[in-house]
Amino acid sequence: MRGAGPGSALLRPGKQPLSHTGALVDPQVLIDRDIARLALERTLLWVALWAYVVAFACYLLHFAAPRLKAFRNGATAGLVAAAALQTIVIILRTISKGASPFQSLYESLAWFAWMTVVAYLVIEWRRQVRLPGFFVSLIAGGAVLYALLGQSPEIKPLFPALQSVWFFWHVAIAFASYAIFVVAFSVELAYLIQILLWKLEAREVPAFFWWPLRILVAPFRVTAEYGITRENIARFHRSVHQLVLFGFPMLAFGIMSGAAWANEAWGVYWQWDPKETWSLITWFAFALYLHTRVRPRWRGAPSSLIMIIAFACMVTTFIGISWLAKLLGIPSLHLYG
Amino acid sequence: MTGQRMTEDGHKHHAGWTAPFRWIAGELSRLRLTVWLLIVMGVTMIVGSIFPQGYDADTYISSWGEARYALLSKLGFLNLFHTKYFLILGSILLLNLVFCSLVRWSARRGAGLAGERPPAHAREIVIGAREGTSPIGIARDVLTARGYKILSATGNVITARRGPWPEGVSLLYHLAIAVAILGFILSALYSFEGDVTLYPAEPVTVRTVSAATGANRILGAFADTSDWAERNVTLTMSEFITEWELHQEKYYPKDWITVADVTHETPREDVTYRDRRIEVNRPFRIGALTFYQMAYEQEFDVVVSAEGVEIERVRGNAYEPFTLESIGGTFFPGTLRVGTLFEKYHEPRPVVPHVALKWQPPAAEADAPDTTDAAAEAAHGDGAAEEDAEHVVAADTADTTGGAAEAEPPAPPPEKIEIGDLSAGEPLEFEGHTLTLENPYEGSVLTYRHDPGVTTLYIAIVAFLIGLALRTYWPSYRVNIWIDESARGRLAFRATGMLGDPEAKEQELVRALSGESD
Repeated sequence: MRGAGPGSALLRPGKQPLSHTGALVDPQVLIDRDIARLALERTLLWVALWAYVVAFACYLLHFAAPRLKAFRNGATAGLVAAAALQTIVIILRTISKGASPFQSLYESLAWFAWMTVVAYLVIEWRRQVRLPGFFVSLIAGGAVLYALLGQSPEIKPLFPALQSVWFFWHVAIAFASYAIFVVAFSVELAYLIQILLWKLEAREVPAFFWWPLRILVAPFRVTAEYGITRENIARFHRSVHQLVLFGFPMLAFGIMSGAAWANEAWGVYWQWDPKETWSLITWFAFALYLHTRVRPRWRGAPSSLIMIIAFACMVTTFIGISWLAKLLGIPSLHLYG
Repeated sequence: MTGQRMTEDGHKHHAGWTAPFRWIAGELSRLRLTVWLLIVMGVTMIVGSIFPQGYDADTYISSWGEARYALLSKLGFLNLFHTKYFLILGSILLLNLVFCSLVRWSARRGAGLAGERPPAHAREIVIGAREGTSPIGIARDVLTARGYKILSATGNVITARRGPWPEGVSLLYHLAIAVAILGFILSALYSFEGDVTLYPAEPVTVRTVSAATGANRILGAFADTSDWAERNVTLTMSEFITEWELHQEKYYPKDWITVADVTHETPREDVTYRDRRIEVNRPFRIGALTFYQMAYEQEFDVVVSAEGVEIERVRGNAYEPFTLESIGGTFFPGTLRVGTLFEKYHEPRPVVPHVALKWQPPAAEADAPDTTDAAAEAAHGDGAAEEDAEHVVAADTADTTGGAAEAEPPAPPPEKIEIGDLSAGEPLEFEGHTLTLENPYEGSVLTYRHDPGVTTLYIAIVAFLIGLALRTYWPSYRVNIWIDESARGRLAFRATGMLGDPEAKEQELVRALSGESD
């Protein structure tokens, strides 16, 4: 039946829809149900945001008192709760709109936060390292906060060009890669902080920078309780490479499926639109990172620097270029949100 | 480079005429070149994303002024991705990829084979004794039983692999990128596009050749295509379907579908395909062309009546302002709503044709209610008369305010007023007149494109994704085993592919070799 999403009442010839039991249903009842679902979804997302705040606070306290299991477990529990709540939100949203829930920026941000946390929890579970969780909870919580305060939750009809089988795969896989890169970036930051802490401890930094850096990294103390030791730091850092390696084909698929979709919808697979261009820049940056890992000489500071640049490119592709395009009046085919 | 290379004993050796080619190949296969190319292309793309690309000169000049446009245009920043410079950069990257891939593949394809001595990281193993079988035979049997392919077995050294061949797969996806760049270049050089507007029962013929290609533009040559062999395509639209979705009392486009008979000229006879549907996201391919549903053209009659008698009729177009002599001012129509309306939880229903209308009062009326007769007369006239009205208003203002008026900025145009929907069903009362909409008429706008690079790109993308996925995720294990005469030995295990479990696989192999498990 056209015009009705899954979960909606069945349409029949005539004006009023039928319920699944065959009874007549007033369309207003169904619309009220959608409104109630939307309100529930918003409430759950607010609760998820608070779960992120709790997780973030617990990670911070965990740095102060690493031996206390309560903070460590509280941080993980906060992220698990946020992920669980967001799972419900995503299911509710999918039911309400009858389509994949990443059409608007509001939905994309929520989806991105959820994928990031899920990807991180897998890493935390496998590696038993919690330091990156501090950054992940901050980024995911920030994305949810921006969605709640800065974006409209209204479910609008899809533009004709968005009604494509490519839509789900293009967005879902591209966001999965973004989520993985966020975790990789968080691990990279954790690694750099740990290295910096050791250097500060050994007074291997110039005296002029010692105090400012000491203050900057004060919340992060040198301790094996975070799960990072001098013995396993190289292995821990390798996980950045592993994560980027994992996400890189996904980003490639995201870009290429987008090009194939554009070819179906607009007749041109590539138009050098700012968003397209920046997605390619991001891909180049991560390709560059992977190539720096090939040579032992480039594996240290150069690869870390390129990792950070690549992440900045990714953020620009995701949000920055839309802001810039609106700000500078640059025309873009991707300004749907 | 001098075309000379050093031999092992330190003597210069003249490589002959192949030396420059060797040098070029050597330079093009450097990883450092790849890194620099990626950086330069990335920076170029950043510049290209800041400046809007490919607009006509007038658009740039109206936004930026002539001086800034001239500067940026001269620097090539306004069509950056179609310049020779970018094409050359892409071509170097292509060569770099090809050389890098081939040189590394040729250097590494045998690298996995075991050397005479085990490396330091190889672990010690014991081969379990089995009657009638030599230790190397046992190792071979164990590996084969676990799905390993024996790559070499010489003397007491054996090399085997299970899973895809990493070097081969790496070569595949690197070459696939090179082929994709080739596809990009083909598109940039030889694609062309255009658009056609179809109206019911009015055939439109599209040529399948064009001189408006990137190659001609770059070379500055515009070939005469008048006598080129071609097989034209003729489209005759039978129906144009428009669908809308109502949400929060707003209309959102849902779909546009062109139903057309398409005739394709062939050497023997013309072939006609009946009732082909061209829809958003569902293009139609024929011959060398692909047609895409892109937009629509809309026309309608605006009928003005007074006391039940038609006094004026004007043909209007969506989004094109029009004037009515009997009312004056300028009317601004929106999109013509016609077709089928979908609404959540409701049956689809036909739309009563209508168009939202705004009206801008004549400038004279808005700014100076006590206009002269000339201005009032002009306000009811056409565009030329409106210009006259503006002049009169300016003169009036100058009269009342003296010389100061010349320094003041011109008065802003009157604001547009929403006056409601001009509908085929319900008359719109306005300014003492009745407005109705008649004869709504829609044309379908299709774009067409010929792009010889697309097929190349699709093949390259599929090969690239398969290769990259295999290399990244699919487990591949390579094992080298050195066995001495006392059935003891060393084992070096290497794994690629993130979905594998190398530690468990290695352990399993060691146990099987020792005879602890089969």
